Parts: sequence; structure tokens; C-alpha cells
Amino acid sequence: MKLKHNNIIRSLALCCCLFVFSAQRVSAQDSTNAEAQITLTFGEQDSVKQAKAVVTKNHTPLKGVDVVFLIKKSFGSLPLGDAVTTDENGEAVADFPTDMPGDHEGNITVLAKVEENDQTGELLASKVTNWGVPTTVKDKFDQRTLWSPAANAPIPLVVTVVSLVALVWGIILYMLSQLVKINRLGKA
Amino acid sequence: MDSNNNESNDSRRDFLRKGFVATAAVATGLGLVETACKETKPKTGDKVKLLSPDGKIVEVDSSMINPAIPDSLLSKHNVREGVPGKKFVMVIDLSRCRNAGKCKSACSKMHYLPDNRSYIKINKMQDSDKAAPYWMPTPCFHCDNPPCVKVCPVGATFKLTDGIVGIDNERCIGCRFCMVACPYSARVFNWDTEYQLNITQMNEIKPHAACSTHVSGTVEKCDFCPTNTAKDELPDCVQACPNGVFYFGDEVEDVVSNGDETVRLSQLLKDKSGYRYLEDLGTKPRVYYLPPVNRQFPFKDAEVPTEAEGQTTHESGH
Amino acid sequence: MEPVKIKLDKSNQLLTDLMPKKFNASGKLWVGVLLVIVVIGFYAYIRQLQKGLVVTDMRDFTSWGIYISNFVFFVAISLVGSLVSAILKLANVRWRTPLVRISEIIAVAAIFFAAIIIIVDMGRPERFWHLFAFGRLQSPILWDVIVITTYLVVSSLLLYIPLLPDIAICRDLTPASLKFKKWFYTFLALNWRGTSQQYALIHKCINVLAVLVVPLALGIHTVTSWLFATTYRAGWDSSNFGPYFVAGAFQAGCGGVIAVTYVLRNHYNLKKYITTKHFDNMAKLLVLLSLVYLYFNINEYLVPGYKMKTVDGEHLKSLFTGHYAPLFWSVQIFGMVVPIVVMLFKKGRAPLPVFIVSLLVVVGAWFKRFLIVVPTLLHPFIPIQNVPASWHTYMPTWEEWAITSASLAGALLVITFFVRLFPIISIWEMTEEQQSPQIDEQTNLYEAQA
Repeated sequence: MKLKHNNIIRSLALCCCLFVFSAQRVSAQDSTNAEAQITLTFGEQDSVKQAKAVVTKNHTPLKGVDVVFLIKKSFGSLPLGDAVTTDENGEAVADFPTDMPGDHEGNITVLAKVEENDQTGELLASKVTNWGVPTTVKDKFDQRTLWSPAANAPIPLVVTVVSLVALVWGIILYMLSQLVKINRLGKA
Repeated sequence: MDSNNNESNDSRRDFLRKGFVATAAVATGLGLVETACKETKPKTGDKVKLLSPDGKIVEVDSSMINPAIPDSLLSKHNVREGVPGKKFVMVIDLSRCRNAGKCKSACSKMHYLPDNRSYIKINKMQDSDKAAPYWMPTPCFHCDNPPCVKVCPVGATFKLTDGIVGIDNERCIGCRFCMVACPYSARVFNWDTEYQLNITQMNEIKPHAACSTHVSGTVEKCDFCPTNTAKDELPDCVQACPNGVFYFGDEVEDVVSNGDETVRLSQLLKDKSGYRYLEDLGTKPRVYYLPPVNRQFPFKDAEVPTEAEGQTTHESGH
Repeated sequence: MEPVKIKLDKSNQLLTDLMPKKFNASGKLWVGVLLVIVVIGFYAYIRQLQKGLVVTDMRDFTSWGIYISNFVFFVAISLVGSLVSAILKLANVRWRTPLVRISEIIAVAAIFFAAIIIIVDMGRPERFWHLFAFGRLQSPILWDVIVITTYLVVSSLLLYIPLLPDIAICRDLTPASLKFKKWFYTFLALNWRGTSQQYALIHKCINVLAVLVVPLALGIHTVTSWLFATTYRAGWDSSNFGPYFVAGAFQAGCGGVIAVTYVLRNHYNLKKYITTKHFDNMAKLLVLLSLVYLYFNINEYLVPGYKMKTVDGEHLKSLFTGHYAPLFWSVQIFGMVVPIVVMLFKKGRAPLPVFIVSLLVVVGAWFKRFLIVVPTLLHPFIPIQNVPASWHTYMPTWEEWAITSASLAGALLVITFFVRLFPIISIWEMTEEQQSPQIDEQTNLYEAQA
């Protein structure tokens, strides 16, 4: 009885996996079958950086296809403006912003994407460029602040507290030594 | 087949399949299905408390639960370090909030919160008598100059490098100074000993690697779902919101997303006059608000009236 | 200086009057009642340990309640030690002598229970050691821990060192048959023989400690006020809070020492030593301190009340005309104005009226601390909503009252047992005064009474 249940669940899970796996493969085959292709290149025109996508089908440029340029980010892809329609050369061009943060070397992954349509199916090209602004994470984690961990307490605070405690407890210890002295005087 | 498995054992597993799996699978994915398929392991005798789908706390043997992510990944995670190279930030668009409450329920599910506790509060606000009221969801603001972290005597709450303000419930002494220091009332306390889940138990449910464990006599709060963000997934409140109120992202990338749209943070704040609540306190919150202008929904008061004054009686609105 | 000669026989009236006496019937009843209160408090605390702080009425908004206000009260009362034994000493006020030990034991008992009540307030008392293992110097709580510990030690020394000659008297007058008692006094007396060298040493110690305790006393109140003033909360966010707390502590402490002194004077028939003149003087002092505190109160409420900033305004309205108005005005009137008015008159400075007024001051001081802590927490920046109705108010549960009462009873028990074991008025210092040739008019009270 238990075994049966286990097997049912196990095979269900397996089916799910297979389905997901095969679905991916099918869509990949689709786009090659149609022989529609998208290529992404980077160039500069009048000192404006541009991303250029060329959409072809059977090596012929396709006109009138909407291409979306995106930048890949942690929680989603950021569109570079609205979709651009390809011209007679099959080209779609998007200006690249000059202030887009990249990784610490300025690298950015750019995507050119064609949404599912009859002519081409879904097309996607991605390419890395170093057009981003290199980002260095400036943080105050090594600094001594009031919100830092105990080890990073501000020096003036540490000095003040330690010296006050040393002073007062020094006097207290002196007082205790006087008590010892009183005791010794009484023994004599 | 093990013949000494008695009926109660069987029914417990049944319960696990039907109920608990359904709940916990949200967080753990297929890993748990695998757990349920496995032959019954020897029972450890350790009981683990879980939140069942109907909101009840149930106790199950710890052998019934498997971590979906290998221990090796967990052990690498240091609760006092954040995700490297990131500075998490949230933008809340007040013009879209209609107090649907999905953020709250998703949060409570993700964090295994008992009924009377919520990390997100959806407050009815009114800036002046003549202005229309609006709903303002408030999670923890994860301030960059955090008053709560400043006052903690034992370092039980601390800043992570990714900007999150974390809590170590095994360190907290329960003095509640952080609660009075927080101007936004973001923190909640484990007043009773009834409902407890320590870090080990949380990890057994799912690799909840940072904070928000439920330990009696300690403080807890919103943690920006570190389990999700470590995997480049949006926090549960962001995913759950039907109106795209919450944007979440990385300040370093200058990009935030609400799941549907992905926009540049600086542009969004510029275009929609983003602001931070009580900016003049100097706490530097990591949560921004977009003002409640051009609203998507007319303001409708909650079914159970919520009022600032103490005389109205109401229970928390679920 | 010639050491004081204390005659250890029956001809010495001081010994018959001032040596510790066994409890009589009313003394036993008093101790019994206090013990019962302490036991009930213990029971309540065990419940709190088992069930968590849920047994209190504190919740996420009123996250501090009467434990904390009681803590602030204890800290305030403890200032009396430095007031009488240090400030009046440094000001060369000689009539203070019979009051020194009373005020010092109040200070020690109060600060000791302040430390205990703060542990009671912790959600995780067994993690108290984290303060030492992981302590962050940036936190005002750590400053408070340091300064309270230090004040407790210095106050204890200030109690103990001037007690040495009197412990020696107790030791010498205890018959050898009472072995334990004899051992106890012998142990504490540190071989005191009353040599001029020993006297010189304790005089030196008392002088040093008297100077040391003044900044420490200001320190505990200022740091305690910072627990509140370092936050953004309405009613706490004030740069005035340090002196406001110090002034309040002086007033409460002065009231406390007068009340205890009156009871001891009547119970142990010390009228010869604690005269009507003492009450008259202490009453004048209390008027002065009440005036100062009243000044700080006006400052603390009038200035924000004039502006009525949004959240401040809500908080002040709840105090002036709202939920807390009856308590607020009672405290202001009976705890400050009435004492000032009554004691301005000579008849009002007789022992009994002064005693009653002091009780008003002390009770008022307790509720004043409540009014400082609780109403503020009910007025956060984002108004309280989406929580059960009971979270909007705070009314302490029986467990909180029982534990708080037990801490107050405990402090009184410490004082009571101290009086049972040691002379509450310093025999050697009284002898010193009587033998001293330069008795000015003011201190010549004892002769006049006799």
C-alpha cells in the first residue's frame, strides 16, 4: 500500500521533469527549423554606443520584426526603451545608455529578443559588452560607526569608556587596598 | 515493506503528503516530493513544528523532513554576511496599493509566522484632513543608519554587507531596546513560549539561512527573504502582490523589478518623486515610497475598521 | 587627630539607644508581610519564566512596561546616597550625620533591585552573560550596565567603610556564646581596633568616595535617561532628559530618605538623635529639589506643548486631557505642587506632615516614571493599527504587579535586615560630634533636645 503510493508520486515527479525537459528542447528545435536567426553586435555611431540586432531568415534579412533589447539583471531584464522594428536590412538599433552600471569590470549582458511570432518564432541573442560603468561596492563595513559590530566601535568612544572605567575602578581597587591595610593594622 | 508500521504512522505520512507538502513545496520545490517518496527513515524522536496549510501548528518527527538544499551550501552561509556585491533596495508604489493583503499572507507563509504576528503592516495613512487616506505597507526599512542596530547591547541585530538588517535569535537577550529605538515599529517580539522554531528547525524545513527564526523571548522582523535573494528570486511579498506595488532590486545595478516590469531605480525615483518615510530622522531607509498620486484604486476602508484611536475594537484583519 | 574613644559599657547612652535591636511584634509582622509579598512575586516570576513575557500586558507596541518604569524609579531613589553622604558632606552640612547611613543603605538596596528588575524584564534572562561576552560599547544599555555596577560597588563601599568602627562595637558587645553572630561581626570588622591610623584611613576613604560618588550618581541617571533620549520617540526625544532625570532622582531620593527616617525614628525611638530640626531641614531641602524638578517638568512639557508637533501633540494630549490625564495631573499636583506648598509653612515641616508629604513624593515619583515610559510607547510615528484591541492599551497584569511589588518589598527587606544587624545611626560619628569642641549652633541640636 505504502509502496504503491510512493511509486505513484515518484512517477508523477518523473513525468513532470520529463515534460519540462522536453518542452525546452522542442522550442529550441522550432527556432532552428524556421532558420530564423538573430545576431547581436555592438557598434558606435557619432560617439553614441549602440546595440544592433540583425534578424534573418534563410540568410535573408527580415523587415518589420519587433526586437526588444534588454539588459540582464539579478531580478529581471531591463528593457532598453521600447521595441525597435527591423528595417529592410533586418537591422534594429538601440542606443545604449552611458550610465548603465555593469559588474566590477563594467561588463553587461545584453539580450536582443524577438517575441514569439509566425515568421520567426521566438528568437533570443545574448552578448556581453564592457560598456557598463564599473561598479565597486562602497560600504562602510570596515569603518568604525555606531552601528558597527562590537569590534568596530568608534575609537573616541572606546577611549572614553575605557579610560573612565579604568579611572573609577582604579580608585575602587585603591579603596579595597586601604581595607586590606586597615585589616593589617588591626592585627599588629 | 516494513510490517511494523502501524496505522497512526501511515496516517501521519498521509497528512504529510496532502497537507504539509502542499505548503512547504512553495519554498522547497521538488526536493520535498522526493522526501515523501523515500522509504520511512528511522525516527529520530525529535519533533519539529510546522505550519499546516490551514494555519495550524503541527508536530512531526524531524526524520520526515529533508532539507531540499544540500547541507554543504548551508554551512557556507554566514548569517552575518550578506550576498556579496549587492545592496538590496525596495520601492513601494503607494498609488497601487488597495490593501489586498497578499504580501502579508505570503510573508507569513514564507516565514512560518503564527496568526497574531506579521512582519508587514498595511497602515491606513492620511497626510492631512483634506487629503484622501491611502494604504501604506511597511516592512522593515533595513536602514543604512539603523537605530535598532546602534542600540543593541549584544550585537544580536546587525547590518549585512548587502544592506539587510539581520537578527541572530540565538544571541538576542530580549531587552527590546531595538523595538523602542525603531521609529517605524517594524519589530515584533516572541512574547510566548508556545510557537518556536530555532535555526536548525528552520533549516530542516527549508534553507532559511539568515534570520527570522521564532525563538521565545527574542525579537524578529522582516528580513527581505534572504533565501530568495540569494537565488536571485524576488522576496515573497513582491511576488505575491497582485498589483505590482513592491519593486525589489539591487541598488548597485540600479535596477528594481516587481516581477512584471523591470525599471531603473534612479529613473523610477526621479520620475515618480520617490521619497523615504520620515527622511529627516536620518535613518537612511533602504525602502523608498512612490507617492499615492494617480491611484489605480479608490480608497476603500478595510472591512474591519482600523483606526489610530484606541477606542475602536478590532482584531487584526486577515 | 585623636581617635574617638567609645565607652563600651552601660553608662554610654549612645549604645543603649543606637545598638541594633531584636524585632518586636510589629517588626515581625512587617517582615512577615514583606516576605509574603516577595514569595508571591517569586511565584509570578516562575510563571513568567515558564510561559514567557506573554504573562505581562506588554506587547509589540508597549514593549516596555512597569518593569522598566520601576527600574527607573529604583535608579532615581538610589541617588539619595550620594545626596546625603556626599553632597551634604562636601557642603559641610553637619546635621546630616544621623541620616548618612539610612540614605546609604537605601541607595544600595535600590540600585541592587534596579539591577534585578532589569533582568526580570529580559526575554532571555539566562543569556545575561551575552552582555559580557558580546557587549557592544555603542549601546547605551552597556553604558548603563557599567555605570550601575560601578555605582553599586562604590555605594556599598560608602556604606561599609564608615560602618567598620560600629561593626567592631557590635563584635565587642556580642557575647562569645553567640558563636555565629560573633564570627559574623568579627569577619566584617576587619580587625578594627580603633587606632588613630585606622581612623585616618577610613576618613581618607570616605573623603575620596564622597567625591567619586557624585559624578557616578549623575552618571547613572544621565545614562538611564539616555536609554530613552537616544530614541526618536515622542516625549523621549529630548536633549533635556539627563538633567530632568537627575532632578527627579534628587527629589524622589530625598522623599525616600525622609520617609524611611521617620519610620525608623518612631519605631526605634530615635527622637533624641533625629530631631524635628532634621525634618525641618530635610523639608526645606525637599522644597528646593521639588522646585527644581517642577522647573524641569514645565520645561519638558511646555516647550513641546507650545509647538504641538504631530506625534508629540498626540502624546501630550493623552497626558493633558486624554487617557492618562487623571494620573498625570495627580502626579504633578500631589507629587510636586502640594509638597512645595505644604512645606513652605513651618507647621508643614513638622515630622508627621513631612512624612506624609514624602510618601506623596515617593508614590508620585513611581507613577511619574510610569508616565514617562508607557504613554510614549502608545504613540509611535505610524499609528497603532491592525493589532488586537488590547494591544492599544497597557494595563499591567497581576504577575507584573506581583513581581514589581516583590522588588519594592525586597528593597525594604534589605533595609529592615540591615537595621536589625547594624546601628542605623553611626555610633562613632555621633560620639565624634559630641566630643568635638567646635560644635556650631546648627549642630548643637542634640544638647538642646536632651
